[in-house]
Amino acid sequence: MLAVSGVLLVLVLAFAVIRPRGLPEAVAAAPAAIVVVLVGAVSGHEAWSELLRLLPVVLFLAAILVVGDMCESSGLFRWAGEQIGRGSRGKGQRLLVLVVIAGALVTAVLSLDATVVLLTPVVLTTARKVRVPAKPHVYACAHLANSASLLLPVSNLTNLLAQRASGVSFVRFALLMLVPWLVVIGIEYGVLRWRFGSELTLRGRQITTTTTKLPVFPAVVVGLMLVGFVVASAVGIEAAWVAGAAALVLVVRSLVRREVTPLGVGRSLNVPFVAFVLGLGVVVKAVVDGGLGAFMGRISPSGESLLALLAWAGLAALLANLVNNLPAVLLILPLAAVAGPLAVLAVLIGVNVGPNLTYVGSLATLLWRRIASDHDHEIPIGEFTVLGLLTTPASIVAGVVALWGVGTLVLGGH
Amino acid sequence: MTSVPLRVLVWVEPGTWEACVGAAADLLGDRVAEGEVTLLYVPDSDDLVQDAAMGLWGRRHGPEAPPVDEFDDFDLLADAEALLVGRVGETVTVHTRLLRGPVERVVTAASEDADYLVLGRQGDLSRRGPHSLGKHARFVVDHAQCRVLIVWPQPAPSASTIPPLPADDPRR
Repeated sequence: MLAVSGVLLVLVLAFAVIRPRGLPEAVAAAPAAIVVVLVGAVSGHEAWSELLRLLPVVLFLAAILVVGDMCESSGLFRWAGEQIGRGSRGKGQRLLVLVVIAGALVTAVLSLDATVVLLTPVVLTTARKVRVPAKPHVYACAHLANSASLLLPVSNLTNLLAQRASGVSFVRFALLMLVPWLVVIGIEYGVLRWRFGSELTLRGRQITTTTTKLPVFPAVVVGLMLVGFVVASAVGIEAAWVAGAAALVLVVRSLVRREVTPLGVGRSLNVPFVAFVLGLGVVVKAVVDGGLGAFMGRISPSGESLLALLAWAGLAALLANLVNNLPAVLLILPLAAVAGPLAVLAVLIGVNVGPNLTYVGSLATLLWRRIASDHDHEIPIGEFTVLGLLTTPASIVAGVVALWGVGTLVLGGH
Repeated sequence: MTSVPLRVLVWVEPGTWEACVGAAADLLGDRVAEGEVTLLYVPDSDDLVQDAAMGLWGRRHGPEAPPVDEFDDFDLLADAEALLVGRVGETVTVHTRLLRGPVERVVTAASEDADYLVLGRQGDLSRRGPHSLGKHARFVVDHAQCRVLIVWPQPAPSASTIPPLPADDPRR
């Protein structure tokens, strides 16, 4: 039975990476989920409870993607880009500081997707307007999207899954992760600054005029949403409701102002991706229950000592680099949850920061792209990987040490 | 002395364009009227933005990412042209070209029908040495058929950044 669900999982992941004819990932994941139930690899009841467990998480993701898109269509990112450009005063080093701050905040509040999809193009445009080499700043965004997604449960899909598994409250999660978040961002900044030292000294031009006003309404809604997350967590309401309410308010306003079309909102919701996560979850459940969980239980660390936490993070980073972080966290969470909340958070440091090792999130994606891409568009493996090798192991180790320090010394007795 | 024709290709980039245009102006000297200058810009990093989204899987298929603002690419070329005309006068023939593709190859191909190529050092500008050139510039310098003029975009670091002769060098 494990063989059947294992093969299906490999197929689902391969399909997601290759995406033949550009078909959505769900095209393989949804039927695979049905097959594992039909062959009895996981019972209908268990599959259903897995779906119910994942549903609030993926609904949250859908809502936060909409919030991000509405912020974009109302000009919030354009505004941020102009402020960053003006604030840089034509200096690459100042621009990098501002990009790192923006990347860290956008990732923490609106999730890493917003940084990759919405902030990065704005940063590229801004660097060009300031007339400085764009590469350090684009790399900064790409790296921070992963490594700055540690702070809040809402910063990364993996965090939401983990927070539920660990039973840690929203505020406690943030308190435990604040120092690791800062440490990891500091390492990223230091390495970028050192590595691109001379490119950052090239002088650009000062931008004194800005054309975009701060879109106050979406900014306020996002702020309220953040407060709402804290309150909702305290009273036991799903974060998805809060994000959903914020998304609804912004969508209605954007529709009324004709900044978006109903079709655009539908695309933002990204239903195929929601279906993919649900299908993937069921298939992973079948694989874990079918024996992989027991196997991993033997090789995974126990307890929450510093060494154990480092081992959890290392295992998670390895897995994330092999198969991408989403399946990695689904596979490893059930085990880490048994070991305790700090183990779960260490796993998050591994799966969130780990993907920075390669350019495209995981080795699987990278290898496929190497095979598939023609020579006109080869991924510049060397440069980004060097950057990843410089920052990723150091960030993971330092982040875990910080987590251990905060978790055992400051906020001990969980 | 037969006069060498003066088809000058200037590879402009953010950060290096002013120095390169200045060097091209110096190169033209008093032969501005016979000169023909092409200002070339090949924006880099577009692909970076696309590739960075690959780790997101399906989530990247959501909304269209904001289009990369091409206006600013032309804007850079326009400023470079204005700077050149300001330096050498209206009589100069200037072309501007914005090309896409693998930077080092596009620039090399464009230099096929040039007599001179002017480019700026794009690498580690903190010390003199091979790394100051930068990866793309290195390729172009090594593969171009024409005369190449290499420019420090800002004052060159002091000669003290050159490593000393090795202790076991027989010429020491």
